[in-house]
Amino acid sequence: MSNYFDLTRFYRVIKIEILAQKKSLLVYMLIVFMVALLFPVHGYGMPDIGLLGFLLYTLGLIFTSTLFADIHSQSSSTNYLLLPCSNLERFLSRWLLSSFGMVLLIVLTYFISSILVALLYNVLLGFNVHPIHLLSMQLMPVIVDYMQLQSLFFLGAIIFKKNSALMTICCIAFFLFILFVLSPLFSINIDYALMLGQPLILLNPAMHFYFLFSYKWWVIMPLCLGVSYLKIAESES
Amino acid sequence: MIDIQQLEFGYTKQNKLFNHLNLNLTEGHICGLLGKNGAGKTTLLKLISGLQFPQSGELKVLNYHSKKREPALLQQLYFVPEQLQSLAYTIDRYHFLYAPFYPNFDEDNFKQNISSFKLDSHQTIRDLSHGQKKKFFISFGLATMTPLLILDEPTNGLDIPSKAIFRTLLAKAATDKRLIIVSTHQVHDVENLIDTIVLVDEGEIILNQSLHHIADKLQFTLADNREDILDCYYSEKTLNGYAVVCKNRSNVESAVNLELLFNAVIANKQSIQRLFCGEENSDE
Repeated sequence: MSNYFDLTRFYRVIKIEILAQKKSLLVYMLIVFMVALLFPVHGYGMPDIGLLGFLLYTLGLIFTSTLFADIHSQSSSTNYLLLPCSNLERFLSRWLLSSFGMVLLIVLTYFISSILVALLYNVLLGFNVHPIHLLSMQLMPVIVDYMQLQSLFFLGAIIFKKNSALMTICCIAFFLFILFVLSPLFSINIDYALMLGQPLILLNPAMHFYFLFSYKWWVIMPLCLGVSYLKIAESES
Repeated sequence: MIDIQQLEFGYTKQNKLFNHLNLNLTEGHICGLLGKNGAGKTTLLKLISGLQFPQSGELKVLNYHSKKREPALLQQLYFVPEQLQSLAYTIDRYHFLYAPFYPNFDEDNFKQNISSFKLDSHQTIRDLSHGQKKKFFISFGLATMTPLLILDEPTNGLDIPSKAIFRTLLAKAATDKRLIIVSTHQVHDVENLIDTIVLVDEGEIILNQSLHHIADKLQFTLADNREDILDCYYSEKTLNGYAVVCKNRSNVESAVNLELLFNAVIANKQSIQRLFCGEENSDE
């Protein structure tokens, strides 16, 4: 068996993770169903991306933020950190569950709920209600955005012992505020750089962050996930 | 099995709990880890299992660096901490989920342990009392058949009959290829069980000897008068006179009283260390 990744062992770890979160996942499914029931899709059955996005962001990020509560508790961290699996398996199991797992759970529950709700409304109440179109292209950007934002909350859940969701939001807000305050500097530098014909990124260290946040979300995501992996590997009880 | 060389560790950089700590433990023993409150017993166990990382020095368990927490090591190690987790699983579910991680897990032994402790496998772990949780995790730990089993205060919270059951099960689980470390304040609970004593005090290992060697060097006896005990390392007033620890001048081995030994070593750290190093014999 590999010391880094073994499929059988990984399956065992993810099984534990799913069963440990079974109750909260069921509660999330119920919430999605209730929302689909209360806000059915009218007209031509176009997906209500705003509502689905709201559900995915809210529930997904709450789920992610509570995922590492055990690592911060002395009694439960022993069980988690000494489980005979690699740090990569430990990291991947929770990340996959809170990213792709959560997307699948919310989108599929919303889709199935919308079918049930459509049946309910059309047959019993006589309203013109349609299930959502699952393969809508509008859905992809919502999922991609969720995956990116989720990586920040994933890291926040590992770093912050208490109120990790709130702390992560505060950190992001603080960071964006700093960028906002520094933004006049960027514009001056951009003009100056354009005038001199120099590469923008080298001009000011703050430009790196601006660059990352504006255009390179995919840099933030691997960075957050990489740091998360290291934090798990270096967690002590 | 456990090799610690020049280990340094502290919860803050200024106050080191362990400074140049050396320890070597081999398989085939039940080792009692004794020490005062705050001496660093639990921290040492956490360092051994990889839950804490040394600041410097080397710590190897079964030739693996425990801080890396590699699965190859973790599947050979089971740690029953003092504070136990409240899991939402039943005993059966925990067994179903966690037993496959341990390649030598003994199903029969687990069932036997559970029934000896009279635990209901359909009960949820969260709903068990502290003592019952202890019984369950001890049962599971013994059944993992890992070469290294670490028990931190295993008898805390156990009722009197359960302590006897614990001793029986632990004695059965001990093999030539297994090292069981029991950290405890309740020395009487493990008195006839452990065969090696590791005594930690102020971040130092002040004694690491087999009981046989201790009985060979020290005598534990009762004396009527204080005059008889002048030459001894430690004495304690009892109802029947004085319980004393003195140098074993005869070839007769007495039963080691762990509580007396602990107090004697704490009170006469250097002279007892010299005795075991053989210096005191050479002086005579």
